[in-house]
Amino acid sequence: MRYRRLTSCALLTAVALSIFVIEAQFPVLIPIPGIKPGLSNIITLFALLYLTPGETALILLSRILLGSLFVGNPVILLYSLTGGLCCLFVELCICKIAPIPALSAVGAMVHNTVQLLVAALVTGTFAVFCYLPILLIAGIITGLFTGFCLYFLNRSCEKTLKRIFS
Amino acid sequence: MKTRYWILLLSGIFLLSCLCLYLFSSLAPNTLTAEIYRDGILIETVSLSTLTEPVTREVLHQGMQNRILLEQDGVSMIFATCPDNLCVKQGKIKNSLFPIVCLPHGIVIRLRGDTSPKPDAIAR
Ligand SMILES: [Zn+2]
Repeated sequence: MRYRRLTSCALLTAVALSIFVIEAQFPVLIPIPGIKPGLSNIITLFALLYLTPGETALILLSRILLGSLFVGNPVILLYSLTGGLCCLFVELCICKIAPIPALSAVGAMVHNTVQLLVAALVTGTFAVFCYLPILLIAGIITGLFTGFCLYFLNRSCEKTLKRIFS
Repeated sequence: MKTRYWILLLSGIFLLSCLCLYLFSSLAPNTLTAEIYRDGILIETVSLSTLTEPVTREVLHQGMQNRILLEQDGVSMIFATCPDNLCVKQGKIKNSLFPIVCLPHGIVIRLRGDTSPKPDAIAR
């Protein structure tokens, strides 16, 4: 049974990584890391629904660490790490009370805001907070998109998925 | 019932953000002074209105290189050795709304309006 869980985690990490690497090829909108569709967050949410919080954190950490190796930008690691972990923490707190799309949107906003906060601390310039409104809007749009993807997936094949990932 | 609260919350944040964006862009003055910061410290100020032709500035620090192009109507990062090059991709900024940020090198360039007099200047 242990091996089964481990395989599930490895599989989801691989899928998240693939999405993450493809996503990194998209052109950027704003020169702050974080404005991305954040599509690999769909895996984090999926894991949150079907696996334990610990396993979800493991998948998230592996994806961020390996992702920064693949995309070749260790400087951004700090931002992804803080953003990703805060996002997961908030999602864990509200996952019982929020519907999936809202959960995803809130997670994306937390992710972007925390990254901006780190950027402000690192550059020592709070002028970067000019980006906050754009980042919040981007978070809502991309968060709702991935949230609804997962919502429909969950609705149509919850039983099958539960059996596979139990 | 619960879903409605979430819709309200999200659309509230969305509208508020749009409003902020609108306010920022309408409040942005005609900006003519460029400030270059490294790790939060102001290292150079260039008045753009007094420029007769475009000038470039090199910021070299611990092997990290950034070349900034200063023109009368705006500022752009034209070359950087940072890994992501997002600062170069941002192109030219023409107002104080958004700073150019080179996160890996800790460089921030912002424009400040000097058309509107500062409050203390009025008091005098
Ligand atoms: Zn840069």
